[in-house]
Formats: sequence, structure tokens, C-alpha cells
Amino acid sequence: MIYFHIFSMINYKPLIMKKRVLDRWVHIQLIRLGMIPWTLCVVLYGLTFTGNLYARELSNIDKNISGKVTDEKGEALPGVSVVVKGSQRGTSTNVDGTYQLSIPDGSSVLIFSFVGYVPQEKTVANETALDVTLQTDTKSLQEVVVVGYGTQKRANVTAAISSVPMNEIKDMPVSNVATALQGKIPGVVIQQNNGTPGSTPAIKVRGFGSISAGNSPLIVIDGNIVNANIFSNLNTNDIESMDVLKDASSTAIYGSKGSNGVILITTKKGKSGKPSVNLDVFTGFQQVSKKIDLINSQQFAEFGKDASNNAYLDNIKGANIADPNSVRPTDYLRYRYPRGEVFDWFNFDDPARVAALPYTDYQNEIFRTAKMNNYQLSASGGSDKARYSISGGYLQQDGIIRRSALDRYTLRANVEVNVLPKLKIGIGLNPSYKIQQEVKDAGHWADNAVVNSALSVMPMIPIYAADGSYTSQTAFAAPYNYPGITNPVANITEYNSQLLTTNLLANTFAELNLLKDLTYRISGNVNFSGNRRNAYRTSKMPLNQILPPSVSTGTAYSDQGLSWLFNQTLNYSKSFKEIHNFDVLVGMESTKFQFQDSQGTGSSYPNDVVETLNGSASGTTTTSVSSKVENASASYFARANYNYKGKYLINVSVRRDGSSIFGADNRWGTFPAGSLGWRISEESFMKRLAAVSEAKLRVSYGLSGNNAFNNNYPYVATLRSDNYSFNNSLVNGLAPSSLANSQLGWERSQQLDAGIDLGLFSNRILLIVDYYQRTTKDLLLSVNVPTVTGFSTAVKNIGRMENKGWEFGLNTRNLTKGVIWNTSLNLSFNRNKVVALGPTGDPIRSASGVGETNITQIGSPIGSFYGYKQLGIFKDQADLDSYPHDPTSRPGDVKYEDINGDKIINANDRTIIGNNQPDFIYGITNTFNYMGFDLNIAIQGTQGGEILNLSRRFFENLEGNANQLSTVLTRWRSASDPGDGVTPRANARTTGNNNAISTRWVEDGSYLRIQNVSLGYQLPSSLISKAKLQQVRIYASAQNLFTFTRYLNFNPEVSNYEGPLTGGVDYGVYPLAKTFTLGINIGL
Amino acid sequence: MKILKSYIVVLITALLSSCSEEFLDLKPISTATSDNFYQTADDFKNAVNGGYAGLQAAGLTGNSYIFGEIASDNTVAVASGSVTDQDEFDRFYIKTTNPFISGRWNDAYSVIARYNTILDKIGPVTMDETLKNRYMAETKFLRAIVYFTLVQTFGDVPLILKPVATPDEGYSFGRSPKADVYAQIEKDLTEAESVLPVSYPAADIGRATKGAAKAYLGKVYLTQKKYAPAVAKLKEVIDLGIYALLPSYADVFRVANKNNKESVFDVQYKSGGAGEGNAWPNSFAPQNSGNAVIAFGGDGNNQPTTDIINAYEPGDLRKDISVASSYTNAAGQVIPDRFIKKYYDVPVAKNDNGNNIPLIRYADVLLMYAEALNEVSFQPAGDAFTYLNLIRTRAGLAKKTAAEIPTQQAFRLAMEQERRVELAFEGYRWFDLVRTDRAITVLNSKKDQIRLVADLTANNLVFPIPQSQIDINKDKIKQNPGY
Repeated sequence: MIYFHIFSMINYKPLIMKKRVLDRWVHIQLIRLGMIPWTLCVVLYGLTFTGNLYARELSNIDKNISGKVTDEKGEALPGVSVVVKGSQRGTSTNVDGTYQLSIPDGSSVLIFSFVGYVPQEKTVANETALDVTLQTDTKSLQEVVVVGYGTQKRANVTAAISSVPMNEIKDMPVSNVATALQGKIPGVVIQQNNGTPGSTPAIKVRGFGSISAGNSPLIVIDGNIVNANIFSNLNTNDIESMDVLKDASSTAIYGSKGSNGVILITTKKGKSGKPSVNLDVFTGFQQVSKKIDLINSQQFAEFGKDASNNAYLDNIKGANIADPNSVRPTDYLRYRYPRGEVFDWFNFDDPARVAALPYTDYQNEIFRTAKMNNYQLSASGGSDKARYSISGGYLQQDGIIRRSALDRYTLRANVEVNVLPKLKIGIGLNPSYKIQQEVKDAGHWADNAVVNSALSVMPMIPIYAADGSYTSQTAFAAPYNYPGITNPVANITEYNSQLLTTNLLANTFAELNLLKDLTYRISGNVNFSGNRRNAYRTSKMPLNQILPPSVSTGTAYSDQGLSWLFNQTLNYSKSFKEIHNFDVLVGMESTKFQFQDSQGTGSSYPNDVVETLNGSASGTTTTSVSSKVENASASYFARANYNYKGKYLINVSVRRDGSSIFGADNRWGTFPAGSLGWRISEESFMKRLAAVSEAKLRVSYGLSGNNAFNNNYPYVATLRSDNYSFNNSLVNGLAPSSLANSQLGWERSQQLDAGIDLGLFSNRILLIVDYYQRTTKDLLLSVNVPTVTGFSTAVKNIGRMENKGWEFGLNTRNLTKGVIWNTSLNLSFNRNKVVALGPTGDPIRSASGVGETNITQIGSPIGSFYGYKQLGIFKDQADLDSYPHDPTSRPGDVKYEDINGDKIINANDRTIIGNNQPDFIYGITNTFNYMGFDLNIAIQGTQGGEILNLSRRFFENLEGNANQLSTVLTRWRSASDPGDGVTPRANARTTGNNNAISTRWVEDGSYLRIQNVSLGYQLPSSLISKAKLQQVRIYASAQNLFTFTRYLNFNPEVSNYEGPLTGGVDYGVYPLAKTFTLGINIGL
Repeated sequence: MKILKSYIVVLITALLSSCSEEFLDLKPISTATSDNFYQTADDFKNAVNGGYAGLQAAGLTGNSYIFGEIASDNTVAVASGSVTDQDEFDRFYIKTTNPFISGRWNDAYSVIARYNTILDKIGPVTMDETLKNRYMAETKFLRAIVYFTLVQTFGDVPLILKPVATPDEGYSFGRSPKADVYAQIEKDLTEAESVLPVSYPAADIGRATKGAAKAYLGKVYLTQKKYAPAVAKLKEVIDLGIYALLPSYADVFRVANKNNKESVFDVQYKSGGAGEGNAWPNSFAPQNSGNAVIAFGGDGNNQPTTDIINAYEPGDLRKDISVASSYTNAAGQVIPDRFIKKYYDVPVAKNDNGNNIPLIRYADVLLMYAEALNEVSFQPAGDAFTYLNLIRTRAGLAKKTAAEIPTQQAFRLAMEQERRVELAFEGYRWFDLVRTDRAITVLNSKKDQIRLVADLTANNLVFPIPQSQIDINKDKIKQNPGY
């Protein structure tokens, strides 16, 4: 009988359980958690086989073999997989490290494998006993990393390159692989600023590199530069490895494209040998990670009444709080509040009516528990001549906002053929198709946005009218001039928008060995992408201030992008007696991108049956527009590596880039870089330090550029149409829309990086530390210019910015036998500072939604928040009289600091009031393995960044006409009831400049998140081999389990106006979900 | 080996020569560029049309009621609560960061750049000389009225008459004295007046005419208290003989009746989903009125005060055409909300109305003429009375007699009253009060009623310079006193 141990985290005592019992337990748990029957079928099928295993006599027993598996120190290793090579037959070692197996007669090869150890193959001759010692796996330094246009041994790398720990992200139930990278790589910030299914997080490598040119890293898949959406459609299981190039010496080979870092992805390729087929399935559900604390109907009644009364008392001489509505002036209806005059129940004065006010938790109405399923089937294999890898995937993810959903179909095929001994060709195809059911999540309620309306609508407003049609706050608003906040539920159900995305990436290459050490490679890819959006708003939708039936509108949008890339490289690689090792590369690359789009809109549909444009009433507003843009680049590059005995390493590279973005005068840029490395651990004097298994010093310096500007022709003065009419007939008009700048050129960044790689105790402790200093100059920037020029902005190369930082990556193997426990930890600090700006050094002020909110000025981090400093609340008249204030201020209004001390509060008292950039970011992942069980716990967070929570200008405006955060319960009410000292009084007619951009809206955005907890169980091969399965693993996983933060709004990672000049502004967004899944991997 | 070597040479050559400059030389496909424009008569036709379109900019005309009406005693700000941008005008605590302030400045200079570009580039173009001169005259007219708006709003402003070639050049302009700006306005209008035609064929109705240039010139003189030239110029408008008051006040504003005999110069709008519609009728309808007042509802802007409603004399036909005090909503409730009725259309989409925005109409010309005459010399029962009474008669009111208006000062007050109700909500009230040096007296006398934050002072007679323009060019652009 075989016994299994279950490792108990809590009391650390091994628990022994019969296999039968365990199977039953697993079975019951799966049923209890019971997701979809499909998964159960698979599991049951597997379990049935398990049962059969005992029932059936094992056939073809030719010979028994047994033995013991130990580690280097001679200690027993339980749970080691022992498999007969080329067959399904196998077992695993028990608690004392011993195994027993029957194998076919004659010489067989056994494979011993275990996580954290180097697998071993042993040939069985005549012996009946075979003991094996497994060596700790130190492969992290033996492994190969992918670098630009090639690969390099990790040991020889002289640059700052981080490899993504694929084993740590494999079970994360994410629809976008970038999300799983959060907290995994030092120096890489992944920001999930939006929870829409399939949305792409923002990725930044080593802080903001640029102000207005792009900040996203370059994505390279299998040597092909691709756009970010191909990365976002990638299935985690298709990825063999991911490496992030961070410093200039590694990115300079990509020249202008690499200045924000490069993410290199290698997809799985077929290997010669037995075919392998894998099925991965997970299923689960998601829930909103947080709800916002709002006031209820009774609290609202008291608050709304207070706001109206305060406004009335403020503005009308001789006003009395007891005055009925009919006495209050009509030139400002917000002096009035509901007193039962229209709807008997809508009466804030009558305690009984107030107590009976209906209440709807609108957050419950828009959010749901949403399902998520993922299926992926892959097959790979091949011979020495040809290898293949094919995978197909289907992801179905409902959004936590009702109706929103994503369906994604992906296919990936890689084939490589050695057509001649010296010629290898390959082709890869990667089509994908996405269907996204969209909801209007972000935006103002007036535009029928869902989240904002659900948080703003008064809680006593019903969803439906008496006749069952949708109503909205509009129906109750007119006598009091309340805003006509739209109906959150209708905003979901009466707006149908589907986005269909087709993408086809095809790439091909040929590799020819011209001479023994000289390889010529030619490769190219074409990417076709098409988006199609059909949107329809029905006539049942209540609009801002309009009750249904409203005018229906429809939109049809389509675009098409076509990009191609072509490159050729010559690579010479030579080693002279393993002493002098050379690797030289020269190459060229060209790319072209074309994009065109068109859109038509229609309205006044006679009915809601036909939603396409042909259904719109003829002769109603129908507009159609289309446009086309293109850009191109051409590049030449070269790189040389040399190392002496793998001890002294040197790397130099240069790239020359030309881009159509710039005018003829400044089209070309040259980007050189170099790096040096010294593997001290190879020196003889270091051999005495037995503890140090690896030590390398690295330093690199280089130049890279950036042209990722959001305009394809920034150097040209363009015109725009501005039409007019004469005598009611349209005429065409044109007007200048931008200033020319033929001098526009490359933005350049210089980066210095110094690092150390240290491995201790046979690499059980691996530490990588990097310091970097990156200076970006000639920032490609759309700067404010005096508007007397006729333009408010112009594109220029100005200024200089600095990012400095430290990065620490620590991997430890804490326990290596019995319980295997590995920890990886990373910690990154980045400091950003603007060093120079423009000819006069004037700060750049930037607006986001509500006027100037951010400032970029010399000596401060880019895009700092800009506004007033709140000192508190004016407690009483004496307090008001004693300090400078706004001309409209009254007791209970916000007290702002007189920054310049001129006894006046005005725009000159605005100052820097915060910054979105965190002091540091971190991630900690612990993985445990025991007897086929694996547990992964990942924590991730940021510390010290701030958020400008502008949403509170809606939910904490204290006007008494829209729902509010519960913070308004501690508002100032009177001199004797001053509240929390931060929240001003309720007032339907705001005074005191209370809602200006100020520290009142700046919140700490620090958070610590339990990002992922997953528990897996690898069914022992002895059980599954008879079912002809290579491996079966089941797991349960929780993503975004909990976030510790003081931030009041949904998501501390938010940024509505993504872009460094206005980073960290929250104006309402699709919240993040927490996800629970069950999954199974089956290998045939 | 030899073959292989040459093979490599060929390859490397291919490697390094596959890209050319042509490949990188891409020009915009969907946008016209200055390089290929401003060359033919047709280009200038488009450019001048674009010049007129510039007048539609919100900062110039769309939001003109903020400056002309809300700042005065005529209307109050929309009930927008936490956003005090309009309330700041209503109660005079205008912040230098107010978006309507920067909107007016930025929009004005944006269109001035259009005009300067046209005038700079049209010279050498081979085209019909008469047409060329007319295009130049139209452009000068447009530039003059935009500068007139600027100088009335801000006082001294940068005077820019050539295209600004580079962003850096933009830093060299400080504020020119008001007198210089007025001199340029007069020069542009005088040049335009001499060239512009009296009228246009149907397809061009709405372009600047001789009469429009004269009327504006009259207004500019009047504003500078140059009464005799104002009298002369306004008389020339009357003597053109092509303008007349319509018999019914309501007809003046009817969409179907655009560009009528009373229209001297309008900003042209057209409904129908082409992006050329006027927002005012929706903008001024009450909030939450649904479709009860106008299709697609209202935004509650520019709400009339009790004071202006009371300012209409009993029997004034203009009152019910201009304002309403309540409406009945779809649920049958009577909502006591005040709003402007003067601009009304039946839009097919929100803010897409066909109403023109009048900049000068003949009634204004007649009232200005009467005012100028009175300033030159008060004559009991003189011509000034005649023109004032033309306006009053149409409104269904009794003629004013010399007995009722016995002095020059009394006539001034009568003009003030008549202009207020005749031209109500057309964006003149505040600037009329400033021009006649009455703003401080009139508004302070109603301080509590119109909720002024403090008594107005001379500093309030011009609005603040946008903070953003001071911040970006501190050395040259200084703030107006008191802000």
C-alpha cells in the first residue's frame, strides 16, 4: 500500500492518509466547489482510471526494480517521479525515498525527476536495485536568456535582463498574461488600471522614460517586433520564456524602439521526440474586489435637506429654515428640497416618510458574480528534420459589471523544417478572434456611464416606473433642479456594444549556415488587425434629463491595421579553444504600418428591432468619416560580444534608425551602447570562498531613442476642416491646426547600469542587484505655447529628465527536501526628476477632466499633482476672520493654505500636492512543494504613491443632489459640531472654492495585495500512467484575493488619464475583480 | 570558396542597401498640410470660409452670454453646484483660472491666426483681383470684430497682425495698449468698409457687407466715446436703405426667417447633423424639462433674473417672446423655472439648432444712433427720439416724449432701459453698462439681489487675463489689477 503525506501548513505536522481517502477527499471537494460539469467529467474520468488501476492486473510485468532516491547529502527524497523512458509506466518515491516499479525486460532507461533538482536518466541493465542521488538544480545560471536578435547564456550576460519565473505565473487565471507579471520582475511596474475583461495593463520599465512619447516597452515575440495587443492575446501556456531587457546595453540593439525596455517572449516550439499533447482547463468565478461605502436613503434625506437649507440661508436675506418651498425663490430651485409636493412618499421633512424611503443598493444592481472559463489544447513534437507545435485556446470571461463579457479564440502554430543540412526554415501563424460585449463603464453619468451613475444616483430613486419602463432621477428632479442622473441598470441593458477584433500574425524565417560559424537569417512578419464595433442605444434608455422613449442611436465603426517587418542578420560565432569567444552580429530591419478607419452613425430608429445603421430613419443624422495614416522605419545594427574564458565579458552594439515620423532634416538617429562583465567567481582566488557559487559584476552604458509619438506626422503643419454655412447652405472651410517643426528629432536617453549577480551556497541564494541612472533628453513633447501663436501646444524636443533607481531580486531555496520551499522577492525603487524644461524652464501644467491637475516642473517628479493645500475647515466665524479665504467662504468651508503669504487665496497659492509615483514596489512569491502538492502564494504591492481621487468631486461634492461617500456623515454641521475637520458643510450652492483641486482629493495609493494563492496537486504517475497520461495536475487558485489599502475608491492602481503628465488621476473606472478558479492540466 | 565569398558579398550588399529615403518620406494622407495649401483662389475660398467658422468658437460667441449676460443683472449662472465657473461671473469673484476666461482668449487668438495667415499668404496668389480684395476685406472685418471682443473683455491685449512662425516667437508678444488695438480695429474696418459689397447673391448671404463694417465701426466709435464719427457712420448704415425693422419682434428670431432685413451681421448656423448647429436653444431651456420645452431637453444656462423680468414695461410684446417663468412638464407638473424663449428651434439632435447668433442687428444700429445723437447734443423730440420710438412702437409700447425724457441724462437712462429689453440675452448688457460707465452704479445698487460677493470697483470692468498665459510668459503678460 502506498501512503501519501499531505503537508499541513498550519501545524506543520505531516498528516498521513490512505490514498483512497485522499482520492475521495479530492473528489468531494471538487464536487463541492463544483464548477461546470465539464471539469467534473474530466476529473471523474481520471479518477475512474485510478480505480481501474487497482482492479486490473498489471500486464507485461517482466521485471521488478526498486531503489532509493537521495539528495547530495544522502537524505531521502520522497515524491520523486520515476518513469520508464518512452512509456507511460512510472511511480514516485514514498516517504523514505524508496520506490518499486515493474519494467519491461532488457535494458530500460528510468527518468528520475523532482522539482528543484536536475532530472537524471539511468539505464537499467541487470540490476534489480537502483539507487540514485539527485543534484540540486542550479540551472538559473546555466539557462539561456533571449536577447535582441539572438540568445546568450545567462552566465555571459552583462546587461540588466530579468527572466520571468514562468512557473510562478502558470496558474494565474488571467485573461492577459501581462497581469500575471505584476510584482514578479524588479523594475517593472504593471498597473491594472482597469478591470474590463481582456483589458491591457500599463507596463513601465524603470519609471517614466518619456513625457509624451510612448512609455510602453517594446514587445518582441519569437524575434518579431509586434504591437502590444498580440501580447495581450497570448496564452500563458503558449509561452516558453519571457525576458525583460532593462538597460541600455541590452536594448540599444533595438535603437529607438527600445528606450522603454523590451519584453522578449519565446513561444513554445516542438521538440524532436515523442509528441506531447496537453489539455489545460480552468473554470471559476469573479466578484468585485471592493464596494464603495455610500450613504443610505435616510442619511441622504437629512443631508439633502441640510444642503438646500444652507444654500438658501447663504443667499437669501431674511431666509428662515422653516420657509416652505413655495416661499423660496424660483431663480434657484436648489433652495428647495422634496417635501411631498409631487410624490407623497418623497418628503424629507416627515420622519415617517423618511423612515419609509425606498432604498436600492445600485452597486448590487450593476455588479455580479461572473464566470470565467479557459480551455487550451496543445500538441507538439517532431523529428530531427521537422518540429511542430500547435495550440488552440478558448477563453470565456464574463465581466463583473453585468453584461460585459469577453470571448477569445486563439490559435498558434509553429513549424520548423531542416530542408537542407545547412538550411532551416520556419513559419508561425497566430490568428485570434475576440468578441467583447462592452459596457460604458468609465465616464460621466450624463453620458450614460455605468459606474459613475450607480454611485451618483440617489438611493431612493427607483429603477423602474410604475408601468415597468425605466425611470431615472430625472422623473423626480425638476421641482428641485436635481441633476438628471441616468439609470445605472438601463445604462447596462439598453446599450448594446460589441467589439469584434480579428488579428492575424504570420511570421516566417530562413536560417542558412554559410560557413561553420557564420549564419545568415532572414525573417519577416505581417500582422493584420481589424476591429469592428457595432453599438446601439435603444429608445428605452433614459438620458440625462430625458425620460424614455428617447432617440435611439447607432454607430458602426471599423478599422484595419496592417504592419509588416522585415529583417536580415548575419551572425558569426567563434570560440578559440574555449578561451577567446566571439559573437558578432550585423543586420538591417525595416517596418511599415498602415491604419485606416471609418465610422458611421445613425439615429431615430423607427423601432428597436434592427440595430444596424440601415435600420435608422432615413434623412436623420447620419455621419460617416474615414481616415488613413501610415509610418515607416528603417534600421541598421551591429553587435559584438567577446569573452575571455567566460570570465571577462564585453559587449558593444550600435543601431542607426530612420523614421518617417520626423522631417527630412532629423530623420536618422544613432544609438550606441556597451557593457562589461567580470565573473569573479571564475577567478582562482574566489574558489576558496566555498560559499560563493556565482559572482558577477556588470556595468553598462548606452544610448537609446524614442519616437513613439501619438502623431504620425508631428513635423508637418496640418490643416483641419472647419465648415460654415451661408444662407443655410453648407460650405467647406479649412483652418490651420498645428504648427510645423521641421527640426523635430529623436528623443534620446542615456542609461548607466551597474549590477551584481551573486549566488551563494550552491546557488540556493541568488541575489541580483542593479543600480541605474537614466537620463532622457530632447524630450519629444507637445508643450504649451503662448496661445497668441494661434495654438495652445506645439511639438518640440525640449528638456531633460532623470530616473534613478535600485532593483533587488532575491531567490532562495529555503527547504530543498521533504517540503520544498522557494521564495522569490523583488523590490524596486525609482526616483524620477525633471532636470530641464524648455528654453525658459517654465513648468508644464496639464489638465485632466477638470482643468489643471498636474504640473511638471524642474526638480520635481513628472506630473506631480498641483493644487491647493487644505489646512482644515473654518470652524466658526472667528476662524474665518483670522485667516485669508475665498471671498465666498463661510464657516464650514475649506480652509486653504496661503502658500505665498500675500493674505489672499488665489491661483498663486497652488503648489505641488502629491505624486503618483510610488517610493517602492515589491513582490514576494512563496512556492511550496510536497509529495505532488504545490502551493503558491504571491503578494505584491506599492508604497508611497498618491492618487488624485477626482471621483470624489462627484461623490463628496456635498451639494445634496447626488449620492455621496459615507465620509459626508462626518461633515461640518455647526461650530459646535465641526465633524472630522476635513469634510466641509453641505451646501447646494458650493462656496469657499471647496471643490478646487486640493489635498482634500489626494489620497494614499499604497497597497498590499494578496495577488495569487494557488494550491495544486500532481497526481502520481503510478496512478495515471495506466490511463496513458503523462501527467495530471489539479489546482485551485484565487487571484486578487484581498487588497490592503486606505484608498477610498475601487482601485488604487487606477489612472484615467494614462500618460505621465497626468498619471494617477481617478475619474471613475471599471473596478478590479477577485477571481476564484479550479483547473486541471492533463498531459497525454 | 571563391563562389561562396562572392555569395557573401552579394548578401551583405543586399543587407545594407534595402532601404531608401523615399521609403521614409511619408506625408499625411487624410489631412491637408500648409505645404500644399494657400495656393489657389479655391484654397482661399476655403480658408476664408474657415475664417467665418472661427466666429462659432465657443469662447467668442457660443459662451458670449457668460460675459455679456450672466456678469450683468440680466441672468444667473446655471445651477451647476460644485462647479462655480459661471457663478464666478454672476457674483464677481472670477478666478484667473476660470475656463471661460481662457476659452475666450485662446479661441480669439486661434482665429486671429487664421486671419493673419490668409492676409499673409494671399498677396502673391494669382487670382481675380476683385475677389482677392474682397477676401482680404472680409478677413480684416473678421479680425477687427475678434479684436473688438478681446479689447472689451480684457483691456490691453497682444496685437498680432502676422502669422507667428515659431512657438518661440510667441513669447515676444506683450499686451499692447487698448488705444493701439482700437486704432487697428478702426483701420481694418475702414479698409473693409471701402471694399465690401453692400449685398451678396443668395449663395453668399451671411458674408460681411459694407453695412456690417459701417455698423461695427459705429459701435467701435461709440465704445470709445467718439460720438460724432459714430453718428456719421451709423447714419451711413441707415442711409444704405437696405435694412429695416421687421414688423413683428418674434419674426426677427425665427429660424425660418434667418438673414432678414433686420440682420446686419450674424454668425450663421445650420441644423441637420452637419456639426453646424447652434446650441443656444437647448442650452437655455430649463434643466430636467425633458422634451416639454424643447426636444432633447435643456441645460438651464443663462436663466433670467427677477430683475429683468420686472424690467419689461406692462404691455411690452417682447417679454413673452423673450422669457418664460414656468413650464408644464410631461408629468403635468407646473415647474416654476425661468428661461429664455427667444431662441427656439425643433432640433433633430441636441444642440443642433438652426438659429443664427446676431452680432449686430438693425435695431441695435438704430438704438446706437439714437444714443450717439443724444451724446453729441440732447434735442427734445429730436431724431434720437424718433429712432428710440421706432423700437418702442414695434414692441407695442407708447412713444416716449420730451416731457417724459426732459434731459440728456434722462435720455441716457431711457436708452439703457430700451437696449436692455430690446437686445436682452443677445450678449450686450454687461458691455453696454461698461461703455456707458454705468456698470458699477447699476450693479452695486442691486448688490444683494444679484448676490455680488462685494461692491464692484473699476478693476471689475475688465476680466482677468488667463492664468495659464501669465504662467507661460510671466515677463510679457501681466495680470489686470485686482485679480
